[in-house]
Amino acid sequence: MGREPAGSPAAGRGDETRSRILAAAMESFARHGFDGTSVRSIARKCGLSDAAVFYYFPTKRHLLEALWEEAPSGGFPANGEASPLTADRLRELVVATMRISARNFTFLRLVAREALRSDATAVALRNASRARWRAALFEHFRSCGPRAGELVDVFMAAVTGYLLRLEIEHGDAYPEAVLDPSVQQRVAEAVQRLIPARHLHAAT
Amino acid sequence: MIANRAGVSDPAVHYYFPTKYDLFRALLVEPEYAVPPVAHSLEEAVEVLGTMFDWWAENAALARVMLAQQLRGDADAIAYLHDGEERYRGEVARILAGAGHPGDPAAVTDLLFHTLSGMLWDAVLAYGNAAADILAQPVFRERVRFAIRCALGLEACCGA
Repeated sequence: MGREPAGSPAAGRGDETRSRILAAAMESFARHGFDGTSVRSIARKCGLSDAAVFYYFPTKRHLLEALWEEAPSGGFPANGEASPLTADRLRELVVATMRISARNFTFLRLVAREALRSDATAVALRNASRARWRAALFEHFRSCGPRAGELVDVFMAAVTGYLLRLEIEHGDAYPEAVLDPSVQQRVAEAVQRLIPARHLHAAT
Repeated sequence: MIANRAGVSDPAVHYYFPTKYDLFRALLVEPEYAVPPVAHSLEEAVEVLGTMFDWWAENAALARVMLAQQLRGDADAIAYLHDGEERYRGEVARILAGAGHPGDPAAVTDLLFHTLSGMLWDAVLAYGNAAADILAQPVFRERVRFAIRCALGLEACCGA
């Protein structure tokens, strides 16, 4: 799902309407779940006709995918030069993941809830997002040799465990909790202990 | 629907569990491990810890219900997690002591508890009711034991 072509005649206003629909959809999904929200109710909320919403998003699935793909994921460290993994880099990867999960908390929480109810769309969105996370992480672990993939799995399991636990303990206050530097430090140190240390390059 | 699946009558279910919440509370059980949580060597510790996780893998459906309730803020489900963690901490401390593990048991337990929870939770989120079958696959069992070895500091697999 891309944005409308930039050169289309009403690009400016179209973008604004599109964002308005997405914001209304997000609110409705969060309140009533994916199944419990109709495209019609989203249209009404925006003061638009059903047809206007369908113009931008032919199905509810399109809406969800747009929400997912436009979720801000920037700030995740890249590893273009394929430099070796260090303890510092591990901490950066943990902290970047925590920041992104705080920024997207409303949507991530919704997807997790719906996935637990076996909503097929939510499961597919979650799997796609984890695949992206895994690919981004793998760039950093590549230098770890033949078992790099397994180490990425361990990293993901640990971070998933710590973050879901924070969500259980903090509920709505999850974003503040994961942005707390002392919490970030605790999770980062745990992951540094977990990933076999003598194979990390000496930290700076 | 529960009565149907259990092959009993509705009144029978209501007799034992007057409300749906009573039924939920009956799920708050302690794990029953296939082996006692004791070990005399590090390798044995990995095996025992893996077998302890197997109980949860087999009962992934329970983990799924609990996670849903815990994320919803249900106090009983969250207390169940806290009690389980405390019990697990005691068991792991004994296993590590028996195995002569040189590290800080509290730190190792913290790693084990969160990493293995993460694996279990990820499986129930990704596979729903099929999670128990997926977790029983050799590739997953291997992954769990690899994570345990990492947490115990027994792995050395990064070829730096």
